[in-house]
Amino acid sequence: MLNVNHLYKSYKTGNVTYEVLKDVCFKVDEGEFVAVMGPSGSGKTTLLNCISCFIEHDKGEILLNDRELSSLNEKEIAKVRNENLGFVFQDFMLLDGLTILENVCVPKVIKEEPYRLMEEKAGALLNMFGIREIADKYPAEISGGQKQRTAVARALMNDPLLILADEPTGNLDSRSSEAVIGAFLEAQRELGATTFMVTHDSFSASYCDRVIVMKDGKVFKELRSNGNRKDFLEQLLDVLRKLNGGESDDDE
Amino acid sequence: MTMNKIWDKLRKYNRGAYRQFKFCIGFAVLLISSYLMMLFSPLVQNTLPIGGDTRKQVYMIFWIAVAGCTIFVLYATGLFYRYKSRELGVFLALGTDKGKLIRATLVETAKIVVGCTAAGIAGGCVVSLIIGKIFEAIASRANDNKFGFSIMGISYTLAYGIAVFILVLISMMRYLKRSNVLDIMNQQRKQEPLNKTVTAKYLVSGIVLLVIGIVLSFFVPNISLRVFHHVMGIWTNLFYLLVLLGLYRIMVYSIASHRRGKNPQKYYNHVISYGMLKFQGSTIVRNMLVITLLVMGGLFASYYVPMALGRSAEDVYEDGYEYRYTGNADEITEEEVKALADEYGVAIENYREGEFIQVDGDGVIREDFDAKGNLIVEYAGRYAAYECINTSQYQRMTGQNIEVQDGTYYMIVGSDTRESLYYQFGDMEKLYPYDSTDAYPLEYAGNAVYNSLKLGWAFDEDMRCVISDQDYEVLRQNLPEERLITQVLFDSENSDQAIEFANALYREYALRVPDNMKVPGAYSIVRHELDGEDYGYNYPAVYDPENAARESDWRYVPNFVYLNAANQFLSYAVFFMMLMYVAVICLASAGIISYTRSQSIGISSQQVFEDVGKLGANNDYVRKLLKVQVKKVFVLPTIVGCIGMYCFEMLLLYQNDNSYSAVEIRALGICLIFTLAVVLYQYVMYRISLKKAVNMLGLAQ
Repeated sequence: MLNVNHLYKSYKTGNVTYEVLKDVCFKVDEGEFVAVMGPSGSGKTTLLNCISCFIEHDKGEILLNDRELSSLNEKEIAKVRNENLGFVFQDFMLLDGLTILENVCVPKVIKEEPYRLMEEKAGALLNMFGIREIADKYPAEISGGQKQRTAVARALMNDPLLILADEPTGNLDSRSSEAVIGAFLEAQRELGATTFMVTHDSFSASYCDRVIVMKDGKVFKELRSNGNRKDFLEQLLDVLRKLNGGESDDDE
Repeated sequence: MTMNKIWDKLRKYNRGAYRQFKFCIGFAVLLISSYLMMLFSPLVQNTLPIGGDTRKQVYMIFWIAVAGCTIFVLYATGLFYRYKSRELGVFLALGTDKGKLIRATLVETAKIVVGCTAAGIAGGCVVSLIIGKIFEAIASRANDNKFGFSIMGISYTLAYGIAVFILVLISMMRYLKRSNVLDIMNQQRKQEPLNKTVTAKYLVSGIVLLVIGIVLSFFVPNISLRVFHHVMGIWTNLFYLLVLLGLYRIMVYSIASHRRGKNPQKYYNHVISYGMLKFQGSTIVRNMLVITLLVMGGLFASYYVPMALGRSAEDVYEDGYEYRYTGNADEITEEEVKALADEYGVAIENYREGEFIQVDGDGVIREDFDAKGNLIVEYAGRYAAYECINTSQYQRMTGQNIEVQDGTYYMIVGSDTRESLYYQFGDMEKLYPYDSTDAYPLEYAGNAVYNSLKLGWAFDEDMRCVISDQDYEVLRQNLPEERLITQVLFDSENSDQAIEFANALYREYALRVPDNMKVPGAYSIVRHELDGEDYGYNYPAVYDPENAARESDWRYVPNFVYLNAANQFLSYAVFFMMLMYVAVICLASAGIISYTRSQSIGISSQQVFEDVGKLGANNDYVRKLLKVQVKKVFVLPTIVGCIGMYCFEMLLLYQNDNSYSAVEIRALGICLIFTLAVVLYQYVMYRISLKKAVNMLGLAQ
């Protein structure tokens, strides 16, 4: 599904070069729910931006279903983003002038698909995430959790190979966060969706199949859940405590 | 690093915004100052008669131009503040003293406005000088007036500059007085969503208001005047506000209401644009309305030229030369005319003379309205001195076989003469033989159409008629020679020599007229006799023997058709030029407001475009979204402005006589070309605006 091999990325400010990603390697299998964690500045968001092709990487390769993304031109990248990737952002990025149903339809609108299938699919996704009743409301009229579930539904509209989520619960309270993570799990269970999520939130990460922990631009550790969420959360907090010199990045 | 250095740096960083603001202020001042310099130059002042309608209209148009430019300046100030607001907010948030910040901003703005106003005035001087000199050259055949800068022109220009200065500072002050830091910071990306639930009812109410507004402000007063002879007064113009409100609603609907409806596929194809438009909100609708009004103003001004030319071309004269003089005049004889023509190599054709007699008669006065607005119709036993010709002379001069029974008369009218509320055929029922109070009854029998013999409007004091030879003999008795009018008609080829000859003939004719012929156009000998010294039109006629093209006010002005046609444009040139100025001001304002609005759309939509890009939209798709947004600013205002103004002009022409003459249709054709030119102009502005916005957002590739 997703293979990241020997990925390097640096930023230059004047004569100083900052290495943000250093030889990052990992893979995500089909149907997997993977989280990336790590302290601020560890390179999580840069990694996500490289995979999304929002920024170019310096070296290495990113293969999505064996297709090298860095070799694509602007039009091809847009097509990949639209058809093969689904995005969920921390600040939702819903279009304020469109209703919830219409927002969910946007990826297919961009793809210029027939309206009937689009509406059916959007309706089904809204049902799946329990937000059918707000279909005709505008983003300003709903809660943060509902907005993010709308964003998850939107991300799934084109049956992407991979959902990329950047701190999807970052702006939400714990109740709404649970609902959003529930939406990802539902998507995984019902649709076989593959999700790659950057998060600071250990609680959210504990629902994942696997967590990649980053430190200083490198993969520090990979943890795999044994199926017991509480055990996995303990395991995670333990690693994060060690990473931060005895303090966990967050508490449950 | 000092505060001043920071300001300098920010100025450099925001130089695009500064450039735009400076351009708008400078451009507005340039237009108005050049207009004022032209208007108060000796060239224009000496061409427009004092107290004349043309002068009044030119001043009226000037105020329209001032209104257009003022809207433009206010818009530019608002836009500039939007750019500045964020940095001001940051300074405030970081603890800068608000008073200090306001002072610094006002000083900076004041410096800019002073600089731009000075540049605008200087530019205005140069523009008016160039136009003035061109106009001077064009008008040199018509008059000797020279272009020059006048104290009045400079004073008014400075006054306008000061007014702009005060206006900009006041509006800037208003913005800056906002106390909330967040408000200021968010001003730059402030969205004004249309929260109204806009249903089809909203559209219908808009259309209903529009129609009611037009009916109440235009049709009802006209119907009242025509049918009930009742003038409703200028207050009915207030109903035009309903038209504005209706237009606003229609535009809001066009922005805010898009439904899945019967064509869901189309709806979804544009759903992102619809959502974005809705979020651009009331600002875009306000802009659209202003652009619509400016397009209408520009068209209204530009329509004047074809309409005026159309109106004056309406009379198709049978003879190239027509003039008349009273029996006491030592006027140029047939031999002298032919000798003069020979000098210029012009062959005189079909020269003939005839005699009219000037006889007092009764009539009907329809001039004023009573306190309730009803037309006062008043019979006057002795009303005007009418000019009458006998049948045999009329037949000889015109070649028309008209038979007039004794005791009847035919009115001599032009092919375009029509009855109206104020003028009706057959008002005269009797004439008075000279020095007699015994009436000589005459019955109206119909009209004789001959344009070259028609005077003015062909009614009242200008009425001429054909009477029987016998009646003529009776009425001619005892008339003094001042009341015996010799009428001359002849023709020649239309050529440059003919125009030179006509100028020379005009000079000869005008120099020889006796005092009793030196009276203004509205002069009535009957009214003069009745009112005595109090008579208002007892002043010398305005004409210049050396300059036939100069606008005259003269009852006995000759009608030299080829010369008039050649001078026609020159006679109206000042007026035309002023109207063209207004058209340019309105259209330039419309174009620049549309342009700047398009750029703000680009800026305010940038985040949405980025979001949509992240969801997989490529540059083509984003460009398409941008195109829809920008198009909205141009399309509806241009369509409504052009169609609205064109229909209004058609209505104006139609309500004159409930029909369109061939000349009016031709004028409407020219207006249509003007309208299409405006559409083309708006299209070019749209392309430029779109290209600029595409480049600004990096969507060119």
